[in-house]
Amino acid sequence: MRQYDTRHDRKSSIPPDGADRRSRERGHGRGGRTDSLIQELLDLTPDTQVIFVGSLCCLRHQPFGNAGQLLRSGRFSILCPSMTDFSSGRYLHQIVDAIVELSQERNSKHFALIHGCQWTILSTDGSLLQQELKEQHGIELVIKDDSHLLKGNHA
Amino acid sequence: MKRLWKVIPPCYSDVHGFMAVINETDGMGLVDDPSRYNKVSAGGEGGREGHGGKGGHGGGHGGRGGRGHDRSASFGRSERISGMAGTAKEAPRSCDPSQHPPEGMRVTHTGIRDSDIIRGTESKVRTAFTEDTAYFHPSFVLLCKAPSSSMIGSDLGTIADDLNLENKIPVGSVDIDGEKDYLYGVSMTLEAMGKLLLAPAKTIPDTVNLLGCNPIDWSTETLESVKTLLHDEGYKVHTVWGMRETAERLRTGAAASVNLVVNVAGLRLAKYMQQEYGIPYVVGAPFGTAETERILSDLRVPETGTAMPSGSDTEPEVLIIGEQLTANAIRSAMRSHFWHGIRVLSFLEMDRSQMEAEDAKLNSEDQLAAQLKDLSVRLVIGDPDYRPLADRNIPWIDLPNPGSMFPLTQVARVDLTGDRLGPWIVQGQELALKELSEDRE
Repeated sequence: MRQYDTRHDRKSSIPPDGADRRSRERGHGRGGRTDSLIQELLDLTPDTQVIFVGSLCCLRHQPFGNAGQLLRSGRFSILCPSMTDFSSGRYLHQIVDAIVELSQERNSKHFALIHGCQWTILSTDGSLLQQELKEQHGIELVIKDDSHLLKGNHA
Repeated sequence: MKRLWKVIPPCYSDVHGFMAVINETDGMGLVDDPSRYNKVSAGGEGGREGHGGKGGHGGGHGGRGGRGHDRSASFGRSERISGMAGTAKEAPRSCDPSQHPPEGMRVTHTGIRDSDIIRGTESKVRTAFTEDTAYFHPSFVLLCKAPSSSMIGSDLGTIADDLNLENKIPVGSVDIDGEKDYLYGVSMTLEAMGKLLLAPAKTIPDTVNLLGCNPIDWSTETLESVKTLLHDEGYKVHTVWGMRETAERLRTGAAASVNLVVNVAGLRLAKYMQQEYGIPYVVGAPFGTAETERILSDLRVPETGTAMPSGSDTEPEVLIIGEQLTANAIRSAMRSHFWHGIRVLSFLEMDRSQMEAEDAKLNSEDQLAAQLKDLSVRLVIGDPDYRPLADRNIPWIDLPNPGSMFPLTQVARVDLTGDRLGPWIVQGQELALKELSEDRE
């Protein structure tokens, strides 16, 4: 049975029932995470590649404000699996394939993955993915949660 | 690899398309999503949280980074609640943190959380519906899913049916979920609006509905140019589906004698109106003399669903990358300039009936890169942000993709209506060839 990986960067706790929706929606920004999130990940190592895994509409959020320039810089990429990919589990293979392809093309063994809500809803076991990439391809993977189910809006 | 964006910026999502259309009406949109949406309209203004957008083609000013939108023309908050002066109506909570939605924004969200993933999102939809309709006083409401609610199969269709019975406002749902392109969202939203609002009406001769002219791809200037063009030919534009129209006007849409589908996003609605109300439709963007003449001729004797002739060209000389009907219009104009082997490619929604044999819907950067590798290609018309995918210097005419979420290159916008397309192509060819010769030198 798959187990949810609790090593993700999950700062927020579930707001108590009845809490004002407005205050909940402010929550995400209080931690200071804006569009510096990707830069923080890029700064992990000089060759770190950042990949976002989620839907097109998730890219409206603040961390991706500079995504065009980041794409052009060759250190950022976007993987948008379909709903069928998510529901069938195919997205796990797509992630591995994408990271391996990028690793070969860009000569990097350090990756950071930012994910949206689908990953959280499916209780994706990120540690298994990290283990597979490390053991089979020698790739280090850091995982960051950008699901808004807990946090609501960015500031 | 399919669905992997490594070099070129992806386009807006179907929910952005939904939002762009709803914001042009006096209705309201409710997205079953944890977080808010900012306005995207008029060539992509404000598509992302805290970031500016860029322009579409068809306007007269600015280019990317500029704005071609006449805000006073949209049905914004201030306009709708102007009769409520002094009541200090509290903004809907889903519009937080700015307390009030941006001007012209008529789409809110339900603010679902992880616990709603377990218990279902219906209560949040109902709460947001009650609060936000009290604020916007919409003429109609459309609900749509976002990735999270889609993952758990939220049944917004049933919720919409129930709300319809419980309220005086017409409520419908749009089957999108944030993973497809914006033109799909526009198309599905227009069809849902048609199903929700249209009623049988007596046909008014020489009237035309314009279908699909959404505010991401079209500017108000282009819309006015097309209206003038049709007026000069003896037609009156009855309703506009996709830009600046009230529900009251849209309800009378079935009275038009013919539908003109000016963007591929209008085709679903055209087929629905043909089936339900017997209204024939003509497909084509009135850009360029050749395509405009063909459209005007077809409007006189419309033949529903006429398929494009199959192209017999095998070796591509020209690639046109963009919205399908705009690209088709450019192809017609190119043929009159003696170009052959013209392929239309698009990352966006495409309709088979409007495709020639070698046309292709692109699903990945690799597919476009492979097309650009073909040594027979002598000219490309497309967004300059696609250029890094070419492995050699090809003459390139910049045709901005107004639906690009993260445009990198500034492109002056162009109005291609009627006979303006021809000079644009000639000028573009000259510039592209000059640039190429300079590069070679």
